[in-house]
Amino acid sequence: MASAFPRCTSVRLPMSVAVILLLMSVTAVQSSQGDKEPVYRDCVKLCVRTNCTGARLLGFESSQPHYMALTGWTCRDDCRYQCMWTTVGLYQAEGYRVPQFHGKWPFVRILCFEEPASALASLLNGLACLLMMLRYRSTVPRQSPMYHTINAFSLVSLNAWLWSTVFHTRDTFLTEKMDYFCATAVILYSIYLCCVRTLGLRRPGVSSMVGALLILAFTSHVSYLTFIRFDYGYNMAANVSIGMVNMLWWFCWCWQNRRTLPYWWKCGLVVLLLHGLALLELLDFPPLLWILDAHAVWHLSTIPVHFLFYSFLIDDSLYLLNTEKLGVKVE
Amino acid sequence: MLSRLNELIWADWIWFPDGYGWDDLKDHDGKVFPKTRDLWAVLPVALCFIIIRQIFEQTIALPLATLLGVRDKHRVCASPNPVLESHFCSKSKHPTQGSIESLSKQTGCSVRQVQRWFRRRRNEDRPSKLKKFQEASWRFTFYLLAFFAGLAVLVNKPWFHDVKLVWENFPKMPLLTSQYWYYMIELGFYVSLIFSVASDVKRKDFKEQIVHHVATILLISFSWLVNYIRAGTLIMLVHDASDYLMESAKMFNYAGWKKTCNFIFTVFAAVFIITPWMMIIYATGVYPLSLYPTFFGFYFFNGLLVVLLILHIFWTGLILRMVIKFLPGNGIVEDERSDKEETESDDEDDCSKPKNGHVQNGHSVLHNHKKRD
Repeated sequence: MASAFPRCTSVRLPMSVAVILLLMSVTAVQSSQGDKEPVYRDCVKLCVRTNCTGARLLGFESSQPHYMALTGWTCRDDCRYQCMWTTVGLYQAEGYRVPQFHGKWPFVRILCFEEPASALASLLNGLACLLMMLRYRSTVPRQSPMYHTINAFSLVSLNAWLWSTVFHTRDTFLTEKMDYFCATAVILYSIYLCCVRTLGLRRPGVSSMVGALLILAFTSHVSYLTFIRFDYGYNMAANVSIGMVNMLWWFCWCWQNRRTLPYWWKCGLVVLLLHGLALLELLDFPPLLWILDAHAVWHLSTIPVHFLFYSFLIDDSLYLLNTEKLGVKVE
Repeated sequence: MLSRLNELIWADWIWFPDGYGWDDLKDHDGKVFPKTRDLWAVLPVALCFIIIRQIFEQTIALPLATLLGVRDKHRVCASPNPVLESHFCSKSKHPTQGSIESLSKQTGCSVRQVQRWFRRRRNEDRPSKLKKFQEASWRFTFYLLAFFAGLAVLVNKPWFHDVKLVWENFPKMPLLTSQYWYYMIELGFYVSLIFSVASDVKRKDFKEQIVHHVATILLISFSWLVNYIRAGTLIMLVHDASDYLMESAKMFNYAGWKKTCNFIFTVFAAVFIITPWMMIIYATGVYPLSLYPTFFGFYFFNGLLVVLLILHIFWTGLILRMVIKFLPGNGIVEDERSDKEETESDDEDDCSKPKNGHVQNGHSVLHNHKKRD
């Protein structure tokens, strides 16, 4: 049985679960049972030889709808898609479990979208983020101490959701890297945001140093994965670790302030929800109706969390502005 | 490590469609192809433009300005006041309400007088009409010459008449001398604009202008490297087609020749809106899909073109707003993008006079001090 390697992007998981996943992930690579299957390979070879050479290729390219060509679907990709379903059909007919192909479950392709449910969920997350960013900008005055940092955080988040949407639409070498790297960037920026809120308002030097450190960590992380080896196991471990730091920092701070800040529960709830929902990633099952898989369910479930998080940020920014006006020292 | 980085960034599969690569662009059989080191020529060209511009502005633009009657409106200067001046220079040109109140207490002037002082002081710093005229006339001259030279060079090329031919024989289209010079001169001009951005008149759409210049420079340089030169020359021609009209309209605006300005502006608006942007984007974004599978370079170039298209649409919006404003019935013409001169009332009190609670009567006064640029 092939190890079902969950394709996690932005991941923050409890420690024990992380350890299990790490052990599982060490054996899994990008090639899975499905594409190692001789039936599949022969099918692809035959298809490419007949349909993707010479005059047939030109015919394919000129008759392909523009949106398909625009999203980079080549003749070979189409062959792989058709042969994947042939193989799945055979497996199911013989009573075997559905195999994975290239580290992913088989999904029905809708228009040009490779994983339509995940792509839609990412898009909705991005829209929620955008909506709440605009709401933040219209509610909170510019003079609030955290205004620009939170603005920047919104942009980093939006960027990550954009690349997640693009990646789930069309999985290529470049889009995968962009999705993974941008997700890491969000977690790191979230740590920076927490640092500014908890320490940086009174000691800006500290948050600058932490910021520099985080940039260094990010650059090293990306360099390692780009120039040395794209190691899924390491990537997962790195994301989990920084996710843990992020979660603990936010949670400790808001728990400490539960008596002074009336809106502290929003922060605590966001942290708990995000990490709890991430557990959904573990339920790795073949997609329902060949569309809905655990990853898509996870992304869909995090959409309301944006509203709660930004509501917390708005409350907090307005509180900071008021305490600044009154001359009260900020905690 | 660096060589690995270099390999990765300039990989064939990123910049060329499947099956082609940098080797296809090596010179052979006496045919010349664009090379990376050709781009170094841009720097001396940009330097020349900066020098020529200074000479032009002094020797041609100034006399032209006098000829056309460019005159600056008399501005009321803010009376010297060291406390307010130091706040203006060191803290902010637009003080908050709180700061105004504290300054009012410090100087003994009323809040209204402090506000007026800042308004006048801000107006003092605004560039004169003459400077704006000089800048506009330089750009007008360049765009005029560039457009007609480009037209002369492109009118006999087959891809001018059938856009799809820009990709004929790609990537092995040999370089023509005219294309080399057209590219270098345009690129040099935009680089010189970026260099002079610090001293140029800063307009309301400053950010959009910078984005436009950066996108243009990226497009021109990268398209040179991968031999998209045919498409590039067409795009530059389309771009220059309306620019010289816009700059001449601005020149007449600064000179006060209202009717001429309105007329030219309407022509400019028409040309700007109907120039075949969509045809170009079809040729670079849609048509190649039927020829080659997509690659990073495809998204990169079309992405930059889309950025320019969005800026185009933004400016079309501004232009239409202006055109509506000076349809018969509304007399005012101003450059939508220029920062507005703040209206002055005729009250001449400065901060040494005692406060008195007079009412501001602005009607007849505002008529004389119409917002004009």
